[in-house]
Amino acid sequence: MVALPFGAVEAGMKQGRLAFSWKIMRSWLQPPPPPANSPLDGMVLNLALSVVAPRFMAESGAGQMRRKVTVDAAIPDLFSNFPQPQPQPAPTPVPSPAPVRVAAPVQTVPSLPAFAPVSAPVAKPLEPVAARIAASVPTSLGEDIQLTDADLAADLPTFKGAASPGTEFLKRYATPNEIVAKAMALGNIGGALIALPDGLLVAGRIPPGMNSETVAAFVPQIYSRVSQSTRELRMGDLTNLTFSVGKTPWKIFRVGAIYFAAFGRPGEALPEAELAVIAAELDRKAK
Amino acid sequence: MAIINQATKELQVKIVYYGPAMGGKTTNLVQVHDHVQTAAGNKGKLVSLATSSDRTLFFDFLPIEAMSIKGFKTKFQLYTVPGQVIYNTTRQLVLRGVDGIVFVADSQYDKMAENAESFANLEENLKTLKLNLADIPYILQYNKRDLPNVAPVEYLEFLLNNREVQVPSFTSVAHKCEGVFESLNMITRMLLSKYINQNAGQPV
Repeated sequence: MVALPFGAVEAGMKQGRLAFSWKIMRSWLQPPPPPANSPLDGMVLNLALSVVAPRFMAESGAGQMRRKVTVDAAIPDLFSNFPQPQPQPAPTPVPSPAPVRVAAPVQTVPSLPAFAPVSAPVAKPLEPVAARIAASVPTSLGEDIQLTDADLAADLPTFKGAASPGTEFLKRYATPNEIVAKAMALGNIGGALIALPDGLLVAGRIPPGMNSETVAAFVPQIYSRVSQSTRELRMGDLTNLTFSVGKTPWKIFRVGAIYFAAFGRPGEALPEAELAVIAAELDRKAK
Repeated sequence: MAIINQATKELQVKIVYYGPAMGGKTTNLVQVHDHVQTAAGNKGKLVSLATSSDRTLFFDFLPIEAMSIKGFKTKFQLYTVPGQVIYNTTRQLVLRGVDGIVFVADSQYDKMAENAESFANLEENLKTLKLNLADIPYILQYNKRDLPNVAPVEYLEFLLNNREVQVPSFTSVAHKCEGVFESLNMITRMLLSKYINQNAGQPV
């Protein structure tokens, strides 16, 4: 039998990992083995969370009452009529005390007379987890958690989760990296990048000496400021932007919410038509 | 930080879905985009931007045209971050200007360490942006509850929701759209609460 010190287990549980060297584990064996060095003392053993966690939770009283964030019921759900969960088979009953009810909410919101409630019927929200968690009273904090040999030898399921669903659309079209590569292959291109409206760099090939993330941060700002001017002049929205810095030509396209920028080599013209075709490919990335 | 456009009477907030790799962040956004019901033209296109090994999602939409707070339409921008550890710079960039966070945890026992690391990473990245998680509305979503090797919710709460103030948390099966909108509804309500509190007594 192994008597795991509560403190050591607690530290591991907070990290989501219970890993101890054999040397340490040996010191916790009961009855204690003969004092001697083992050649395997340095080996790290991972204890199964699925065995330890339930016992730890039962011993620690980790579900003790705490203050909770609350939101004024006067604010309705904004999203409704979404698919409702299929009826689930009744879970295996677990003995648990009554649910925790917190008396003192931490954050409350004043009523909102000017708030316009949504007319659509509001779906019944899933009950927050916290409302369903049973409180267990701390009883033996500091006591060791006893694991039997049977626990340690348990044949634990080793299910490796199913592949993450729902991302196939990511693979349908050329990736931003491929689009940038296409632009670079045109010739006369010094660099190209794709950025989001808040300046997030998605993909880019920028020569050394330039910071691609900085360029990505400025591209949407350059475009939006010129676009703001064209709108204020009642010329309409900007469709693309061409400018030169010294002898280096630049071109910025906005495709939906995505910015595609390319710049040429000093004194050489950009293949603008080809770049426009490449930029248009980004539009296909929208679902 | 929420953007308040006085000219267009719009309140725009940014919600970031954060969490370990393969935890279901992308699936959450796909489900929201597929099922959210808005007036015609008020749902932005779901934009998927993927590099060869990285991925980042971005889309924005105006959920309900009639929805107004003190005359302001609300517009939400939903982002995911790449969960892979090596893309921390990207995660920091996506977190810029964040208003609310949905932390999508993977409920499987063997993902507990990744959950804890990702949550710690979130706090660290917020600190680099001079932000404090305690000041940002966030919720926890315990995903993949349909898998057989999931940890009990009590342990997930101990692992991720063990602060002085307990935030709302939801179980989910994102690929079946279970818990997805419940989470989104809660974070948007929390954001609106914060906005209302901040603007209480102020003329808008």
